Amino acid sequence: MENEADIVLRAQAGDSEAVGLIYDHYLDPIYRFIYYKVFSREVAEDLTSDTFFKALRQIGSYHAGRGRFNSWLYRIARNTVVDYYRTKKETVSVDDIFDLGQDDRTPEQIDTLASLARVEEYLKTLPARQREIITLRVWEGKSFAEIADLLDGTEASMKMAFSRSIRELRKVCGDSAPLMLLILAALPFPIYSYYMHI
Amino acid sequence: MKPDIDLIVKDILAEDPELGLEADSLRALVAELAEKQPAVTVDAAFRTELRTKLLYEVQTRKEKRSRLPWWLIYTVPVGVTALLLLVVQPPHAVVPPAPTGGDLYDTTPTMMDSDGAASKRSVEMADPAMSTSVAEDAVMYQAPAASNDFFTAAFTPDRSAVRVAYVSVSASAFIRIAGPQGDVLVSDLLLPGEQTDLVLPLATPVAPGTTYTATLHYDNGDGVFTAADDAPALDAAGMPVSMTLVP
Repeated sequence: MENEADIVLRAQAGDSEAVGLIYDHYLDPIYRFIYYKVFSREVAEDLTSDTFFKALRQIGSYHAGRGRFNSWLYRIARNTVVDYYRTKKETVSVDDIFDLGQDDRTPEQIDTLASLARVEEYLKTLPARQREIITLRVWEGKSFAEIADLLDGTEASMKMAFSRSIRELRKVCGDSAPLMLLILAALPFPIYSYYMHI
Repeated sequence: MKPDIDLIVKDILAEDPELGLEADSLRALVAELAEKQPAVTVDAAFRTELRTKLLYEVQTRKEKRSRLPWWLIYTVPVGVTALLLLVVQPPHAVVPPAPTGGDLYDTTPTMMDSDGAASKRSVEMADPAMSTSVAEDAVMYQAPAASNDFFTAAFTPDRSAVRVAYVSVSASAFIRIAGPQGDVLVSDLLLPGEQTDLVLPLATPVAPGTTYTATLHYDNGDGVFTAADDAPALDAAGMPVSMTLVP
């Protein structure tokens, strides 16, 4: 977004046009970011809505000197997802996690989930943080600097974790595309486990 | 967003040069990962609804910010009333000291003889029109508009003018005073900012007991008051900033 700093300043002053510009620019990536963590359209919409309202209420506390606006907004989205899983902790067991959002899953996804047991052991070995780095880098096209901002790490550590994850994936999957598909389809499982332990 | 596969592979190889020999399979793996990205689209109705809600929230917050703080809302009327009482009541209109000694038994000649003018002023203070004006001052504070524009005004005791004790407008505006039939008595242009103690002379006499209405209208830039073109200033509730005046 061009002149993002100016637009953010205007939004902080209560300029509704500026808020609209920020919303239009960030809605899709923030929604996708959340969707990859909950895999439910309904939940993703609720959490996206929460994220933007939280951002609007807290926008006065954002200071450009403390980091990118982009990272600030993603951090709010991430914390919103964490809060969501914390709320679910007492009412949803890990085994039920794949029922979340089942209504809007495609038949292909459901078929994939039926074979989940085969890769479950492997999924448990892959830290959710590494999976999140892969998602942000490969799917969202984030730079390592942005990922570091978002996950509170250094750029070097993000690069290292990403390389390690890819190397591990190569060892386990080789050229097996179907297995890769299963791993990606099962994304909510390790993420859920990760957020449950924050 | 389409990832830059080459850049991603380059990053990996920079971290782990040993993988250089398998760059092609690495590239295939990353490309496969990228290809498996689920297609996620935001529902159009959700997009529009959330945008509307957010912008409404922005507008609401802006209006809340522009309102006067609660303590000011309560203290301003008291302050304005006190100011008006000081302005309306001449400093020399002081109640004469109570007679003492033998005067207690024969007050009338003393008052008439000693200060005829004072007696006259006392009568003037007791004028019903004057009393009404002061009483109105106490209740004529108007809730501030969303733009903080507001004013207080009252007819002068002799009904020859309207005294605007205080007015604050954010843009050039007319103060318009009209009778019950919409006949305009005054339409005076006010400059942006705060002004106190403006006297607007009336060209036509006003009838005691008749209700007149004073309103603020923003000038459309031509400097000439036209009810149809000069929009009325609105308060936080969306109602015109106005007050009634009774001479």
